[in-house]
Amino acid sequence: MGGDEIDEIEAGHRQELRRGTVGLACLLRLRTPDYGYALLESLGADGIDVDANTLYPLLRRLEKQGLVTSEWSTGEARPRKFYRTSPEGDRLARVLTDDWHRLDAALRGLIQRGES
Amino acid sequence: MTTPTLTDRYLFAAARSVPQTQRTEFRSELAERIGDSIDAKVEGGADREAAELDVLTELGNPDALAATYADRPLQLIGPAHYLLWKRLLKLLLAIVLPCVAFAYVLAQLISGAGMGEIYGGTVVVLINVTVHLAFWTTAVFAFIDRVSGGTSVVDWKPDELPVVVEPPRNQLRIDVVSNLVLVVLAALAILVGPGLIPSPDGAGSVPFFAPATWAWLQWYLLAVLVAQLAFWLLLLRHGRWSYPFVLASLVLAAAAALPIAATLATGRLLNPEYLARTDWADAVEQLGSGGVVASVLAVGVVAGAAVWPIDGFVKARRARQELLAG
Repeated sequence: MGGDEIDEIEAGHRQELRRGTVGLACLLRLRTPDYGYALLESLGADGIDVDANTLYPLLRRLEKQGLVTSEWSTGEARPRKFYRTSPEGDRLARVLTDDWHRLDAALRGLIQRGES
Repeated sequence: MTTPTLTDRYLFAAARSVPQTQRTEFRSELAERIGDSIDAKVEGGADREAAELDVLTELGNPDALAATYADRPLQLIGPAHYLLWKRLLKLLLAIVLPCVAFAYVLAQLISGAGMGEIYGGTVVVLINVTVHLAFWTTAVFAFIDRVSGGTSVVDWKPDELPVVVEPPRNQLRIDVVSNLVLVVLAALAILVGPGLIPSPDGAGSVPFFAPATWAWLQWYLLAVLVAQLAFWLLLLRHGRWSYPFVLASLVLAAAAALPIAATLATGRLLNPEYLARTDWADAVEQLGSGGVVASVLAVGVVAGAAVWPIDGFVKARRARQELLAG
């Protein structure tokens, strides 16, 4: 097995691991309204690297599911669409956060048992 | 009007494949995304034009991008090659089918086959060729898709963007005027045309249309044309297509096409005396009552007339969607 192939397998698994967390991160982050590009940058600054090709369609999907709401702001040089987490989105974010903590605890347990 | 920028062309190309009702929203969202990405690159010290080219290249094929936004993954072949597969297959069919049909008919004519045999055979050959083309093209693409691991073998470049073609605002007026011209030309053809068709052997004047039929048909058709004239003027006043107009166009198209098709198919439209004098030995048999050529022409007349109400239906639906959307 070549080095490239291992890298590719690793990249695939990491992508799968992160896939669900980007949605949760958006719901948490958008409790303060913001537009797409600013969201992209701030998520990156917070250590969640997300591809623009993933983020923009994701925002559209979240909006369609009623988890975020949007509003066009026309005050600036360019019209920008500001997204904000809806009450349903907020409820989902709490459920997912609980799940996240449970998974984290479970994985910690597994790691400790492996080490002892 | 300023010349459309590369971004304008990208937005136009991407918005085309999004459903009409979501188009404006999608366009604004994408414009925001492209603008912000360009600004970010310019702030990083890049030249604006180079930044624009970079951003659009990174976005990739606009059709594929629109597909990811619309949650409509292109999966028949795999997203990397689906659009190329579709385009190539269409192109192949458009080129190969007419060539095959022409070659087959020519070969059969040379070998002296009957008309019925040629028509039947052509249909069978065309179906065969279509199935083979579709199957093998798809098979080759499925293979490429596997081997390349789903990454496109053809890079997309912004140069491929289409030129922006905004539908002119006065499209309806253009339609109406061109159709009024057509109606007038058709009326002239009915009044003057038959007299201009020369007799086949030059001896005396043998009318092209059967005199008994033409005596009433010409006045009937002129009356239908007057009704069509009124139709176009009313449509122009109304301002846009609507379903009542589609219905009216259907009635008027049928009124014009059905008598022509019926007299043609039953051998009462064309003058047998005229046909008998032409060089075409089979003319009376083929163009007479129940003749193969006459039947095909009759079907062609009806199909040709159907284009009008179908076009109207499409426009009426679009007008309705635009009304509902905004």
